Amino acid sequence: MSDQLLVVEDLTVTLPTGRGPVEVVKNVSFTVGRDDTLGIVGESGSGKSMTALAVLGLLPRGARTSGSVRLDGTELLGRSERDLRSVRGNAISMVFQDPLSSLNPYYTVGLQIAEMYRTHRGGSRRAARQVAIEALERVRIPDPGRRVDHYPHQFSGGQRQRVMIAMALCCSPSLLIADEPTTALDVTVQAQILELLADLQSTTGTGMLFITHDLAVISSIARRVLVMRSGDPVEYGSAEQVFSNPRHEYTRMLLDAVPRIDDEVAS
Amino acid sequence: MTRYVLGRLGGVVVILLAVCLFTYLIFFKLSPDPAVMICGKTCTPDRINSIRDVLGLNQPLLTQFWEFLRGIFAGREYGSVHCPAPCLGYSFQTNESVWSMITARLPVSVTVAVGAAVLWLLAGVVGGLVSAIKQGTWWDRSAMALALGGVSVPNYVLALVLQYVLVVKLQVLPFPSAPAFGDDPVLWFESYLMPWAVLAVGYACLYARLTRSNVIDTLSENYFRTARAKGLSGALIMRRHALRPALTPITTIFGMDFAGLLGGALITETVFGLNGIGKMAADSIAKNDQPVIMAVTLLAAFFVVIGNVVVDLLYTALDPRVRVTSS
Repeated sequence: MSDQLLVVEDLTVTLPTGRGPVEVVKNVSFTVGRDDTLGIVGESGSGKSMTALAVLGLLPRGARTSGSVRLDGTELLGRSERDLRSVRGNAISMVFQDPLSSLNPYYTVGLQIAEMYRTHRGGSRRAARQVAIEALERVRIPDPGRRVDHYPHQFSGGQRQRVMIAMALCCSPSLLIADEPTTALDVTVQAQILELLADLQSTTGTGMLFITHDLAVISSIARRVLVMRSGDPVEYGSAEQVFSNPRHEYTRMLLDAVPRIDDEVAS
Repeated sequence: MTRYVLGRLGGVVVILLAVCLFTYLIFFKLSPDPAVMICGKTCTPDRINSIRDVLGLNQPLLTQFWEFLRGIFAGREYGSVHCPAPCLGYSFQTNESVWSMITARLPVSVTVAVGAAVLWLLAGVVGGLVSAIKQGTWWDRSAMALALGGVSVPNYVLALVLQYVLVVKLQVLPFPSAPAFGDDPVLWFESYLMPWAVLAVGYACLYARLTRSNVIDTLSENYFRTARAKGLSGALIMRRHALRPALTPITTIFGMDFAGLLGGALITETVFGLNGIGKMAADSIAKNDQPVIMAVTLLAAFFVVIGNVVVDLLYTALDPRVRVTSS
């Protein structure tokens, strides 16, 4: 078994459109190790979210994939829905951008965490509820014993994302995919969520695939970076190398577009 | 929550009083003089006056309205005749007590409404659901085309066609006669089958289209994607994360539609000759039988207003977002 947790090779995703099939991800290759964080950066439409959805087999209907996605050496592409279900949420889990719409408004957060735990681990309702309380505690939701019975709209934006993270980690997955997890949050809450993710990663050793359009966020959390543009992998390397010595024109452009506090104000 | 319920019930009383007042004004003040109508063709001014006296039509309007209201809750006197509560007056046509006319006919209307509701809920929701899951397939397209057609066919056309085909030509069903359930359950069922179906078709088509679009909307919700990403089983995803959110709004519409039907299915009952509230309404309007028209209108308003409150309370139970803000 390799020491790489996730190995993606030549991943290509084709979506059907009104004007014929379009390749939205083209020959993308990367790896994520245990206890490692890979950041995928790019503008909207660069194919970064499609790459993440392809790993979990959650692409829109009619999408076709080629290449290879291996988790711990096991191929995931082309596996049946049934096989993938046992991987989703269990070995690989995912946190999405907008925590309010990503949680079902009709059920308590406790039930939503517990249903996932029971699906993969079984056990009684009571035990699963206890797991949910512990999961909420781990993401530092105050008074988790009471909050477990609250509905998503009763939480603040940052707390909702904590709930999503609690849910994602309740089955101790080996890989966590975070798709723009801080984009919908304001800056101070963003920093808290990033800190929480980094903390949890250091205690659990979970590998992380972190997707964002925000270079500042990537630089604070990722060790290695993949830059994507219209489905193409543009640059791939350590965060240090990509940020301090970008080889590709596009990466340089992205970096230049970040406003800096010591920039001179054009008069 | 208790305060909310009490507030709603207070609102119900106010609305019903307003409906009473308006119906009273429309049917007793703007219509032809009831005394003249009761008196008939061979009539003298003296006789008209004495009828006015008995009905209280010589008194001021507010006093008349008050007497009418009092009659509903405490009963009233018409000359020497005592009308026990709840008194809605006597039919100008048959002299029958309006209240007993209602109690005799309500079971028929309720039977028609309940049976039709069961049919249209089953057909509409299941049809819409299958269409949503098989979106874009031939099944979906033909079901939705059929639904559009079904909504467009008027009740009375469908009723006459069904009667002609099933009763007259094929003779598989008896002519509807509204027998009591206890006398002959099979005949009872066969009798009501056509009215149920005719009434249900329009609703079923509407509900199918509604269910389909609600379910499709839910399937594109982010929380549905989350449910899939969690690796839940297909059945659990459908039940919890697609059906519950998609069907909750349908309870509102169903409550209102059903409440509306309890006030009588005018066309269906008339076409099939079922002696329910709807047929009573049609007959009373044709003969300008004011006390009956008044009672039928009030009854329909009562059901709709109560239905509205029940739906609202049910919604607070079904949707936690409403529940928490209202308490």
